[in-house]
Amino acid sequence: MRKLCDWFNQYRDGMMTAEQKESFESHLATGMECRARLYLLDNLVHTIRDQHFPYPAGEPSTIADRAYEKKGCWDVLLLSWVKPMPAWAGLAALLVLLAFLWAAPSGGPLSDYESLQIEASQAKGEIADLSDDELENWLEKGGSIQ
Amino acid sequence: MRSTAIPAMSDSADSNLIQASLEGDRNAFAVLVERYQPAIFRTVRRTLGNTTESEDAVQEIFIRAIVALPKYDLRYPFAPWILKIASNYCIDQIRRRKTRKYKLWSDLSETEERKAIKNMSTQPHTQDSTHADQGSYLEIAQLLLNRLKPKRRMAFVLREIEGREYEEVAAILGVPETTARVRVWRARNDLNTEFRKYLKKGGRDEKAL
Repeated sequence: MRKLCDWFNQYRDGMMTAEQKESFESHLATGMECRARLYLLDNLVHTIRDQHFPYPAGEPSTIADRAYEKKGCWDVLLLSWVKPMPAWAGLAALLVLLAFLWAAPSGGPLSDYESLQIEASQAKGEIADLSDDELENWLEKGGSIQ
Repeated sequence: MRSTAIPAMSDSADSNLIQASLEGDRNAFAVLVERYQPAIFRTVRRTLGNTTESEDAVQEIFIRAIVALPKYDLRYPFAPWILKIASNYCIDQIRRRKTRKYKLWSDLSETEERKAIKNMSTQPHTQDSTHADQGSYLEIAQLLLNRLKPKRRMAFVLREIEGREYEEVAAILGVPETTARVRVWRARNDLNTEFRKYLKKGGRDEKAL
């Protein structure tokens, strides 16, 4: 069962029925942690919201002119084509693919040992679970299938 | 909840300006800049927390907008589209500046700082908070906000600070509404956790955050 504290976000977003809201508010009256959380959030939000900062000095016509000047620049165009995140994701995928190709079996003819290992595992499922040393011992002893 | 004012205008007015801008009419684009610059500046300033950086950001956002304008679909409103560019820019900037150090508590005495930390979570917000309270709260608020992950911070600013509906937040961020909601909820939890950590350290210790 969820604790009343878990309903904090629903309360904050006004996603509660009147009944739920009432019980959460009575919880707020006694629950110090949730009340502190609410006060902190309120104070933080209002402080930033009410902050006065100087209005941007840039003239719209200057900004527009500069935007048109930069529009044709190769660096801006390149950045618009090569989005950073997809580029990194593509590079990572390429590296994974290369690593896989490098580590993957060559597909060439199997060594004698590998052939024996496959034969043994086909002959008896249990043998496939043996360690390499155990399998070698078993083969040295003739590799008989019981 | 209060919502940040986005200039009220008909979509057709925007469409005409966009068409003209695409044909190279700089004056038409300047009108678009004039209309949307205040809203973009407010969002960017609240997210990045730095005026000079935000002024440069506005210029950069409009450069990105003019480059991307041919791809803009005139059937949709312009405000969320340009704010999406702004939010992507902010997220990029926050990621880039991750390693930068900020000087904190420049104007606060230790007593003021301790009082502010205590009051912030024990005193409810009132309209008549003193200027001194606001100043000290602002440092803490900015410090905590700077600790949020870029995507969460952006969602938090749009929803909590600017008072936008989740639907609008989702449209600006280019994510489903549930994702926007989860980001805001996580941001609220993170702020609380970071504040507790900071409180434990008794403030002042920059490494605490």
